[in-house]
Amino acid sequence: MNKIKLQEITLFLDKSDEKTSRFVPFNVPEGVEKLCITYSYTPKILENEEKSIELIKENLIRDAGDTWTEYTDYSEFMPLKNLVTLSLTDGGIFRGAAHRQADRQYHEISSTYASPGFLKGEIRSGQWVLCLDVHALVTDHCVCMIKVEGEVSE
Amino acid sequence: MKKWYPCELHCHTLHSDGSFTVGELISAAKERKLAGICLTDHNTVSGWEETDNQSDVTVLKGIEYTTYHGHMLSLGMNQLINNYNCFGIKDINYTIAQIRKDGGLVGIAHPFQLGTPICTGGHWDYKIARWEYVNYIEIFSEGCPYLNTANKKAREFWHSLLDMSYRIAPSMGRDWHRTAGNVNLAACTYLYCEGEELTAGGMKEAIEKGHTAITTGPLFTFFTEEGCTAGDEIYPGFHTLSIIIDTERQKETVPDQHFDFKTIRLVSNGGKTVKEFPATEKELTFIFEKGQWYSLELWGDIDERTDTLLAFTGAVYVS
Repeated sequence: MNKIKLQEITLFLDKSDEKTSRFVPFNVPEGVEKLCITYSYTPKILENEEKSIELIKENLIRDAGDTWTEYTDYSEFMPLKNLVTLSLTDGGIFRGAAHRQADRQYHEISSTYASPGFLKGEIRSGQWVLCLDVHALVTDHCVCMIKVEGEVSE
Repeated sequence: MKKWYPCELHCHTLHSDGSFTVGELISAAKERKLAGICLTDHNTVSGWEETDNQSDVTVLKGIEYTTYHGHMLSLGMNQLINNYNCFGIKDINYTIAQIRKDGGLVGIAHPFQLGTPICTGGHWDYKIARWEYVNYIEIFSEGCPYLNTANKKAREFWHSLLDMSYRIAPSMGRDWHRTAGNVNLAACTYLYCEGEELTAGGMKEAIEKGHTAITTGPLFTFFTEEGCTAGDEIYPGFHTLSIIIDTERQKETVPDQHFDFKTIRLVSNGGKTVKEFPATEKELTFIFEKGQWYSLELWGDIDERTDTLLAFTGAVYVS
């Protein structure tokens, strides 16, 4: 099997990207039998304790209402984490998602196998779209690296 | 013949952020004597097919749309309504309508859980345009419901929706991700379903009809003299309710956990207790008023914790 590169991109996110989605389209040529997606993002955690406490307090005041003062031990919520998950569509059809905390991921999708979260099935030629779902961005910046490769028969 | 079946309505696997494989989840459910589970992985349905070739536990297939502004459960739909990641704060209502049009059920998971960044999107911030499209709300979240202060708010919120004449079923969801760290192993949602064997269709129908009973341990429910129970409509006036407290599964799953059932409260509009009596009584005769809803609550002690809500039923509605 030969591997061909279908997309390689680095995205720079900041706080304004929180609760938005970034779309990364890529074209799949005829003859691709398997997609291989390598994905990572950094940093994963917010190291700054003072800022963590500030964000937790803000979160508690907003969501816990009059019971927010009952939370006295903020360490149970630390470290705060960035969460940028992947989902995938093929010509607008849902092909799965990897909603999990890992900041380094590798996925494969073919007609006979798909990594957990994704749907196996025909690798159709045409435009596919990877979506980065920015569920939480607690650091000032976050760098996401995506590489999509296709395996073709020799 | 209808029966009450113990079920867990909120489960995750390796297909999202759970630690279970689908097989391990099913084994764990069987071990806890659950008759049914809902597979509700975050934002994917890739685990569904792994549930097909087993007969240990009935599985109702679903998803937890884990969005930026709330987590929404959907069960028994014919197709996946996607675009979950594009839900802006004003965009949920179209998706809810699509799910219902497609035959799926809509539930709101842990509406008062802390949200982003502690639990991303976990707090329900959407404004629902048509509450009649919402089938159920998770009132007891996590395995130890009485320790979760958000559950009290969820119950009050559910009462306020019942006050506005919406017929919404309560549910208990462990939000089950792994075997480790679990407490209150007997806590579950009982569903009142047709047949000697539980089916996915039966689970779905029970939730849709509001036939739910929520518990930390025993099956706690009731029937009117005409066989009506939670979710049903009854006529106004005198009714005698037969009260059931069945501890068989509780004793099998948590034999060492101490329960002391003390009082039963009949709760109605505004969340007001309209009658309170000892849990030893097997019947309640009461005048049910037109236009009101009524739910039964079982209060008592669990282990060292006193004066605790141990179980409650979905509501009956007086026509």
